[in-house]
Amino acid sequence: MKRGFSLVEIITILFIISLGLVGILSLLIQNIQSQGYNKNNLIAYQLAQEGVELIRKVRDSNWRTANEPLDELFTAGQYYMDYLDSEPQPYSGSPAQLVLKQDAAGFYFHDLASTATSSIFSRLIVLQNVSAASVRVIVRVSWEDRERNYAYDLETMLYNWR
Amino acid sequence: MIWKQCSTIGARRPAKVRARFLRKRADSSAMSGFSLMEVVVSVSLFVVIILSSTEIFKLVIDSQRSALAAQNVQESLKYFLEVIGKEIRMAQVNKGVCPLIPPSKVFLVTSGTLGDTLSFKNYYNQCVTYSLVADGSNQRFQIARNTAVDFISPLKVQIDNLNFTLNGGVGSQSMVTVNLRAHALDEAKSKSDMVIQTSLTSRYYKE
Repeated sequence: MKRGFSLVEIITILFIISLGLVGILSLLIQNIQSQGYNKNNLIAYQLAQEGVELIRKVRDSNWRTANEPLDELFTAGQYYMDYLDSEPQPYSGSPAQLVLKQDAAGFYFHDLASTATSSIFSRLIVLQNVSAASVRVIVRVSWEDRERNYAYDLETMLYNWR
Repeated sequence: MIWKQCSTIGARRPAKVRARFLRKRADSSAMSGFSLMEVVVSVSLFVVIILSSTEIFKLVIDSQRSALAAQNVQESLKYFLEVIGKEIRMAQVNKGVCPLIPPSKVFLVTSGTLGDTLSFKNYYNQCVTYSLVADGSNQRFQIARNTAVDFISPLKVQIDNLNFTLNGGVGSQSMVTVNLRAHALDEAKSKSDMVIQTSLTSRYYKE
């Protein structure tokens, strides 16, 4: 007389409930992940902007002093440079050179020998000679977050025009 | 169990009637209640489901709140960097306009009570000062242009650190490196603490 639920019914109910739960949880996880990504993307953008600005400063300073053509000033290749450097440093291929460390005040800088804590960010500056009067600057800031790799690329052209 | 109690009500009726009445009551499905076990199991199931669903709702609301707080911090930082980026790039050599800054310099960095203070003359010949100032219990980014002083960071964002470094050198273009650390002032669990840095060179080329 008393009829219980059949196995199929119970499985169906459990399946529907778990679908709902998985939906909510994946929404939560995605929310947290995209938050972290947005934050790191903003920091990476500013660091990439800094990279472009550093190369620009070298060109501008060159205008004030030597006034050489651009193609003599910049040799095409891969470099790294931080806010304390006055010219780009050639990158020899070891990724540790590109890692940005943070000092006590929070400033991001490159220094292999320093014991300061490494940030998750690395920055590579690529210079390409387009003509005698123009240089292409490509800055790539890459970072690793939760076992995944991300990168932010910024590209600009610098000309020898005042 | 309930029908047993009912039987006391029918105690004064004649035995024949009472027996019929009791049989009728016992057979009636309308009077059959839940057993204690059933009630205990269903109530505990109900409690477990309600508790777990409120917990899930709480999680969703918390994550929503911290997402909003993080977005608030990020938007504020973008806004500061936009504003100060434009103004710093257009900064000019101070030719005796601003009393604090040396006449031949573009920028002056001094250490204030909370963080560094940056002063320069902007494109409109105003003497501009960026500093970190305590406002009640929190710290806010303040911009002073001549006598007009105002906060640029919202109340819900705490600026923990504001540092400036100059990299000019003799004959080279003046450059300011801005570094700031901020977090959300909110009841959200995640404070969305972040350190942001960028460098800005002056676009002023005349001596």
